Amino acid sequence: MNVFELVITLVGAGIGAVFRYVIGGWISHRTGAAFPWGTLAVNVLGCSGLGFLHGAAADDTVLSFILGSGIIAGFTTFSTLMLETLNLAQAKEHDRAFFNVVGSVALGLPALLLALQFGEWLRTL
Amino acid sequence: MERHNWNNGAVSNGAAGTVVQATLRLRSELECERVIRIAHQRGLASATAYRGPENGGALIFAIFMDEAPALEEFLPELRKVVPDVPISIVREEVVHLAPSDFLSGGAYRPRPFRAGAEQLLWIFAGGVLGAGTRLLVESGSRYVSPGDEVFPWGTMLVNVVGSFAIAALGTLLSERFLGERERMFWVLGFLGSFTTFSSYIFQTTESWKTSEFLGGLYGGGSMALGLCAAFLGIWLAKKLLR
Repeated sequence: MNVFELVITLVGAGIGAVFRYVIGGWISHRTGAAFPWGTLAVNVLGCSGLGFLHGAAADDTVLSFILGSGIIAGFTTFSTLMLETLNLAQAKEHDRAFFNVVGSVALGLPALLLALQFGEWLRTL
Repeated sequence: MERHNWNNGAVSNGAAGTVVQATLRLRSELECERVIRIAHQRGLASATAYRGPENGGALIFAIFMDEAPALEEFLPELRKVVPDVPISIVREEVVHLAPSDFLSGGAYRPRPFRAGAEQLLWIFAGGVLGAGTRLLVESGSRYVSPGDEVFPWGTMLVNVVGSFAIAALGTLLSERFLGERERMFWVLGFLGSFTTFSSYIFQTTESWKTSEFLGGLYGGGSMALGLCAAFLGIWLAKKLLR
């Protein structure tokens, strides 16, 4: 990996972070503070993006790295999910805290696998 | 700040955003109680009295504060109640106006959503730096252990450490020990980009293909350790603040 690819990856991650704030923040703003829908939507969206990338560009490891470790990894976030889950748990909203963790995986995993299938199917065309 | 001389009654141009403070030097507790009573009855924003040391014995001071129009209305009445008491008047610009819901817990609610150029730039800078740190840790873990594809502990480490940090910073934020700019750069930019959910899910599926045990361990372990780390972060930050 050369310096140019590294710079593109890092700039991509910065752009991903900005998109996370704008999209996730807007969704959170619209749906209220009862449940962190913004982070959930961002993470599931990012999972499908990564799945599609690995399906459609499976043999291009450089592109997979630049986009997968850059813009998509910067877009999704693990730490905010943990913090918001604990905030729900500490507010005695145990059902919502549980759904936030389980729901993130239960929606993110199929989103990734479906997008992967879709990307692979596109390559066969 | 503009200071008027003793007994100069002119409050003058009571523009919004100006707070006027009137200080009275009183001679007895009776006088003091009288003026404070009236201030409370008129609903003045603040009426405070204290006994201050001054040359020749302790005097009683009464301080009244409110927005200019309200105090201007109150002053004639004050002069009537204690006619020969000098009144010092200070006008001050309001620099920081508390949110209108401050008294009903506004300071505990999350800040409003803003997406201006300055915010986005801080998030971008934090995102670039966070991703750089993540790549450094991940490549370091690949360098140390060749089995990283099966059990990507570098990403796991990044996610767990990031969860700890965001919980600690998040607590400092909600207790108002950190400002908006720090939130943009460190929390939304750096830590958001440092940790990653998409790679975590993808690596879980990849690891699962090789070994269901390791895949489950990675998927469940990241979540369990991340939650523990976040809990520890909140606990530690609250302990530090006490």
